[in-house]
Amino acid sequence: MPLSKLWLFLLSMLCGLGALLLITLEPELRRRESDEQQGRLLRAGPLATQILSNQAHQLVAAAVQMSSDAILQTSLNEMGRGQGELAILHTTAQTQLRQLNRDFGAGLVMVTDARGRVLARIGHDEAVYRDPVDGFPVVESALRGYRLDDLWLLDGALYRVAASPIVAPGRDRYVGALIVGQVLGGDTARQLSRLTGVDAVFLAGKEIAASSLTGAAAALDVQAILAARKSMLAPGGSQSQGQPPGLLRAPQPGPERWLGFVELPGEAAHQGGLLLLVAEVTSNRTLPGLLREAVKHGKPTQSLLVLLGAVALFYFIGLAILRVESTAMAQREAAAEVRRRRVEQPRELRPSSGSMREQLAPSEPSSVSAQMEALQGEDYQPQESGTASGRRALSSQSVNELGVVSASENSAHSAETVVASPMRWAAQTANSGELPHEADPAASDQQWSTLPPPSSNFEPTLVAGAPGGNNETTDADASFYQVFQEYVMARERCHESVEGLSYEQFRQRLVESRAQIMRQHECRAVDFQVYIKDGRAALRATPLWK
Amino acid sequence: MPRLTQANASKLSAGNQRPIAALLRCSLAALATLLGGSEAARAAAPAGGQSAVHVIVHMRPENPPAPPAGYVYMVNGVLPIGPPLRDPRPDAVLVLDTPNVDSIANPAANPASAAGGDDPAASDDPPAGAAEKDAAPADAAVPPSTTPPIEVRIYGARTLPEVIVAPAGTQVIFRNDDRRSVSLHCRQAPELFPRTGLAPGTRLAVTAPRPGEFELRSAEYPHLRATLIVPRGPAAHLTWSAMGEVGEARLNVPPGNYLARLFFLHRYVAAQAVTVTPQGAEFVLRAVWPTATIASAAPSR
Repeated sequence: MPLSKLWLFLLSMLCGLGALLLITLEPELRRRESDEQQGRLLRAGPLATQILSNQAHQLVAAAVQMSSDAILQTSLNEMGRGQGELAILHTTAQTQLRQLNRDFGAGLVMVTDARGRVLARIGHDEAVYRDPVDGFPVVESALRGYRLDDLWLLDGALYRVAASPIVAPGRDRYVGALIVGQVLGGDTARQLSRLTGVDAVFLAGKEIAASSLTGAAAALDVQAILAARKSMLAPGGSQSQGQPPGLLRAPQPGPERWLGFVELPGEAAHQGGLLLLVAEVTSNRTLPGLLREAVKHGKPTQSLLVLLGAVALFYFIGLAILRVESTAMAQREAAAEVRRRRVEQPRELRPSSGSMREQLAPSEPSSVSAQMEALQGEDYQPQESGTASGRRALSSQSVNELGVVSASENSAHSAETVVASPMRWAAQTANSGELPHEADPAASDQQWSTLPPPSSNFEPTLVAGAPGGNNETTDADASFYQVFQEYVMARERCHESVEGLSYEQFRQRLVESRAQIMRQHECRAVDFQVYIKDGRAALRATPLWK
Repeated sequence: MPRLTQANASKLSAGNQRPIAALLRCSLAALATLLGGSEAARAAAPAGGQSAVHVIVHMRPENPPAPPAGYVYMVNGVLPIGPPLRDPRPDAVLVLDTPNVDSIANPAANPASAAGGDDPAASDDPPAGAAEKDAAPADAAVPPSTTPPIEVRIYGARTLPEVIVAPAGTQVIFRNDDRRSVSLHCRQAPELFPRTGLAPGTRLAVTAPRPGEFELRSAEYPHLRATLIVPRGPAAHLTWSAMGEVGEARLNVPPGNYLARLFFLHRYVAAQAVTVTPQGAEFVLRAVWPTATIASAAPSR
């Protein structure tokens, strides 16, 4: 039973541990995940800027390499001087641009003359040329001699463009500029996402130009995001408590998302060109997932430590309660076992109760009386009983001892009368100065624990009143039952068998013995006492006249 | 008083139609001069009695570095950096403002110009093959000007010219010669332009609203920038010398006190108070390029 309760306790503890893990560990892991995503966003911003800057440098390098092409230089030189047919120059330059762009794969390449008029272009409106583009700052700056890049928004797509001046073959003047453009599309967004660890979304105006988000996660409320960002950037804007500067929690239902913004330098920035970094806080609510997350973070979380401490505390408290409970249960079970044995043994004796009956049979009083008579013949001392008047009464009365029941070691069914020494009993009572029924209850309780050798002495027990006397029948029965209990316990202590003992027979025997003694000694009551002599339990009957 | 008398005397000798009335106006002008009020003098002065103002502006040509646009910004290392393709100085405008005309510039004082309206009206002079729109119905309250319409060309993703000087009520026609549609808007006067873009090859006529400076922007080309100046007083573009350091402007204004301001690169870069006498005035205005234009980030090498 205790083992099963222990298992139940451990199982409950395990379930509680799991519940506590779900309750306490998940929010902390979620908060840690949120903090981690915010930190990742903060790191991803400069990283994305660096990546885009590297791409811009590569694009400018490609433009510089293309602008050094001799055919383009010659074509533009002749165009500026008006020496060549414009259509032929256009075809020549366009063919050469295709050749140069074959390896690079830019989405937009065009070349202009020194006044900003397009000589040839590929990727967009390839048939159109001679149109001016000198109003674009990047073209104008390139025609002045700068190598630079810019961001354009063309037809809803973001282009990272780079421009480089084209120097005349004689290296004496600028004859034009070359512009190379690359779309900031899904490939770039996915590349940024792969390198930064967060999703990247290119916004153009109030729409999504390119995104690394897929599926339902790609549905972003751009209007709400831009409005929230505007309010955040406004003087005295609404920055949430504990929210890192520059980050924004996505103002839309669904999973927790944190947003970071990267300003894209260039002309398209005035048209709403923006790089949006999205970090989604994943929710792993399963216990193994939580444990994996906890292990992934490298060290036990604070909640986990608190949780383990609480579990250990509960565990020790449970063990203590279990120990106390098991001890009490063992005591109760032992007591119940004793009671069960006391109750069940007489029942077992009923079918073959002849032995007890033989022990306590009315036919035996002859032997008892004979022994009593024998005892009277021996030396005996008057026994004081009760008060001083009682002592005076006892001084003129004789005291009889009656060994009522005595079981042999080998056979419980054999009855034997054990007669105690009246002189020893008288001496003990005289020394103690107390009557047997006035003995200290504590001393009486300790008699079994401090049991002297079997031949030492006996202890007085209760007085059984005569039937029909002052005492009620129930009191007499209680006394008889108590004498019976003491007698059984005395036999057990003496390692004597208690099989076949029956309370009814025992009681009947005591009633008969009491009646006999009262009739014989004309006394008012008889005191039955259990004592041990020579390692055997025995009963002593003492007549009382008062 | 002698100057006024001399001026009016020459006019009398030239016209000689109503000598009594001219004598009366001359007397009133002399009285006003005695009282010391220039406003009264202008009010009493005849319509043709304006003085010539000669303004000389000194401004050195600069070669400011181009503003950085993206991540990379470096020189080529082969040839030196050249000057800008377009010199902004021809767009410089000299404006003579009268000191007490602020109430005219106050939009609240001119509710008609503040009223909105996007319904463009058909132009009276639509060119053949081009759609022309009039996007300033609220400016109907502005009295029509006798100044001929001013045409602004959108070409190469920029406006030519970038600074437009138009008296109130003057019609300004924008012509899109680019390959792409352009939609203009004005923050100071949103009702000036329609929401729809100006298709390639089409024209849009607007009426210059109340006096003030109106910045025009385009949604398609963030770099496109133009300024429509509706002056309170006389204004004129500068004529630059061949060497490019000196510009001059000649204006005919009534005598009085004025505030001369130079509008350059979409902002006022110099201002000077001048007094115009009946004999005219001549002064020198020294200006420099805007600091923000020159002090750009130096390019990397």
